Amino acid sequence: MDTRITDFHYFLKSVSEKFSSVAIFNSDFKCLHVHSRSINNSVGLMNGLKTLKPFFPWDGTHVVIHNDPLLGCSRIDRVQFLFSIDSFHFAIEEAFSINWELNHKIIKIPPIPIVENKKVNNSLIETLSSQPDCPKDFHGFVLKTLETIETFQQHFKTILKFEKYFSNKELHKDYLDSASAFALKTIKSKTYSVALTEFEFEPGSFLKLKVSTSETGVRVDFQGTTNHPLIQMADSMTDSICFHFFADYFQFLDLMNEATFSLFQIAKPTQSLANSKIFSQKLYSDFVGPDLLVQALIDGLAERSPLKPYLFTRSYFQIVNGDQNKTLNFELANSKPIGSLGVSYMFEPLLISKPTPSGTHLPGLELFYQFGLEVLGCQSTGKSGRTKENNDSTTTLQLRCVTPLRLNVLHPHLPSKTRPNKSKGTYSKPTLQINGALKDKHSFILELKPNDILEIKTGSIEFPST
Amino acid sequence: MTKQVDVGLFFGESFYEVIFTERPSNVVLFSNAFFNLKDPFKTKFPKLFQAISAESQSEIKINSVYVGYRYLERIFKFKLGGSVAQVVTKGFEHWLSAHQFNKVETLFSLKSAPDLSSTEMIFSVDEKINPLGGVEKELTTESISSLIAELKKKEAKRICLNLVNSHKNPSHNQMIKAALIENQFEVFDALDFGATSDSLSWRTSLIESSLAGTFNELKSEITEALQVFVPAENVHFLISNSSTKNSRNILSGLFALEESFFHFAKTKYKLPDHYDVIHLGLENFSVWINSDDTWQSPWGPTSLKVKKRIDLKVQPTNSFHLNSFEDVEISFNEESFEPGPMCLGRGKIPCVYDILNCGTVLPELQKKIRDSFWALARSSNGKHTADKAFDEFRTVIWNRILIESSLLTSSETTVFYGDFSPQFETKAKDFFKTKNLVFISQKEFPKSWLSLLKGRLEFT
Repeated sequence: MDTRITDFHYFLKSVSEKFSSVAIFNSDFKCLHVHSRSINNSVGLMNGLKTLKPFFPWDGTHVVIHNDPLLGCSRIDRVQFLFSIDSFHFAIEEAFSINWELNHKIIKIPPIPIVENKKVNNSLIETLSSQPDCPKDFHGFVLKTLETIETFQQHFKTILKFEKYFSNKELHKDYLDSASAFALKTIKSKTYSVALTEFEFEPGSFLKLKVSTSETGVRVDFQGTTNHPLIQMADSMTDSICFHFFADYFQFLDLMNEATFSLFQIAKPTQSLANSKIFSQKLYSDFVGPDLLVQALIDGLAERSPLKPYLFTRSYFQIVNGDQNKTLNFELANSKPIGSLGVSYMFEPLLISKPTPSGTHLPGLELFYQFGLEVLGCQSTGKSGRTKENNDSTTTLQLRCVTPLRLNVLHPHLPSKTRPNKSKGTYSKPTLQINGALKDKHSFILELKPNDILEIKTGSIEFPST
Repeated sequence: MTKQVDVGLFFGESFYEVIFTERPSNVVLFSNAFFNLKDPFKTKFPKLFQAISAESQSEIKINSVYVGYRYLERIFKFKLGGSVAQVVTKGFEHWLSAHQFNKVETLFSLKSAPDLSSTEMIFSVDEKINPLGGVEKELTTESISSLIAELKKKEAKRICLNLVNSHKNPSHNQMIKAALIENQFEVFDALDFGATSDSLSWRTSLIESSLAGTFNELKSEITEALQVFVPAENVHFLISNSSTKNSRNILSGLFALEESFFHFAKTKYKLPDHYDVIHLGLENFSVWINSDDTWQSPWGPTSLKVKKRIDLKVQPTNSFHLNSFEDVEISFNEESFEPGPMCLGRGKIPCVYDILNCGTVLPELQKKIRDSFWALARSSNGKHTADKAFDEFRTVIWNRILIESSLLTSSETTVFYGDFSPQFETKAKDFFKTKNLVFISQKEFPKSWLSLLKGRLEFT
């Protein structure tokens, strides 16, 4: 039996699962597969390597890193690693921990080879690490990632020696054509014509979004509007979010590649992030911007659907523990009893945005305490009798400060008005109170002292529509 | 003359293995595996005993029975719990659920593990120990009485006791526990499952309590079948190194097999200190790594440290479907062993097990399986032929298993172990050209034998 595209697809999926975000290219730099747990970096992973193609020898001897948003790096706390194995090339994106010092710059790394001629350039890594704006554990982070890449190279080579036909360009062409054909067929089979969403952040500041599907694919048009300054982002992030969102909706998440992306036309917002000079805004838009765009897309989708979406925007928190300058990031989402849904609901039966992000985002009692916060309680209350079905509940986390610490907060940027008039979304607005006082700025740093009481709510408000 | 024997049993999800060995020589008198649905243990064991006695022409006396199991994993896919209740510190009713882990989570799909316990069965108690171990809110006898009354009203039987900071000061925990035991409740204390009372130990305790009913049934079935042959106190259920002093160690037993393998195979097969195992058993394909890791349950991480086991995507009861490319693809859904693969005579859908085992069944059944598979393969895009398709997919299965396991194993020595291990030898040698490969078949190193060896180590 000849090698089937199905077997090649399985191979791409299997190898890509070794990384949280990866794009795999063939020797012609055609992107065969993108796999990412993040919504905002699929197109950036495709773009970075293609742009840097002429500048480095992609023969398996080099590993190049950068964190440039214009080259596709999606977040300030992530780095792209680009490398080759035999006739394949890879772009991966890995996250490291940074202190969200909103007023400080984080190091910007241009594309540099940290492995040259198969040798790790330790002096270069040390030079980078010694920069005042470089995070403390950066050196360890880079070396650990290089170790992972090295192990992966060995595994990948073993497979390629056995499955020689996987390098065949005809197979790659067939694969890309088939993926594209399937994705287009799915897009055309869904009744989703034109939807318009409009968010007004403040008088005169709009985000307009028009989405349509046709015989040729998906068109997303920001209609010349400008993202609010707080949520500006690089074009590749906007592309990634739209691509990932619809690949998820049309159920071809595992077929994301350059062929399926070619079915998308995305007229991006004007003045999207080029190179934000104010880093606090870059950090803010990195975290909060994708959530807002997803909401806008879901709102549009809900307009064409009989279902009522529940939109849960999230706040992002970071504790910085005093002298040690250690950081602990956490998020809170609406909780539900362990496994209470007990069912898999795919696609249409329930349209809910992120009912419960996995518990990895919420530390345990002991870890909170190590960072200077005592958990006083965690409760969930339902708004309606159908809470179990629609997850329409509010979760409250109460914390007490036991040692002086710093809390960095990124609140979502909710629009003040939405259009169309019949917006069906129930927005959940998270809140934070310190000693009973509401803290609702978009991003801020709080210096907490012992016995300060924090109350974090996932919240649930009926959103005003005009 | 009387022969003294030890018996090793291993209960998988649907198969069980039995081994009789003579003491002290360790000569194997009998060893085989049975499909529980076809040959229920309860009726099969007495017959086996008689047959072995007759064949050895002497009286047989069973000294000890050692039972290993993975049987409980079969119910992970279903709703668990029943009458399990959680007693938590007031204000922390949703602490565990806020740490929920989902199997799949995208914008439009969510797959979570089945229920362990419902919200209605969470009971709070007005008490609080602070992080330094001081009593912040005193527990009153009235609170305990009220709790007991509520639990009785809801007809709870098994209670998970999850009190905040109880590891720093167990006084409240002990008071409630004593009252619960006095009132005939079965108590599962989170303190028995970890150094701290937090979401990991709470989750572990909740899973253990939810499995207790099924474990009791399994235990009763086995002890009843054995009662005329061996005193109940000589029937030992295996535990692993993750066992704890005060818990019932139901979960711990699930990981005894891998531990036993790494311990005994090293000496028997002269294996190096570091080696990985690709396990190809009748019921499960997985990679075993000889290092301790937190057990990632379907509900999230637990406090148990066990040998790392990664289930492969291809499993024996995976069936086939037409995928996005309209090719035949191995399905992610497991058909389970009820009714089971076609080879076992009950199932109607061909699955991976059938493709790998077809050669061992009668020609009529073989034809039926091939025809069923061809019905799917003929409608696919692939250029398959009726006579070749079946064998081609055997190669596809082998390749899938080799590709996935090659990405998971890093040691220079890899052991292929299990019923399908011999089938893989040629292909594996071709794939892993630079590795040191060792093939151990199920028959030469049965799981029941591993149960027996580990049991002797633990209990004698």
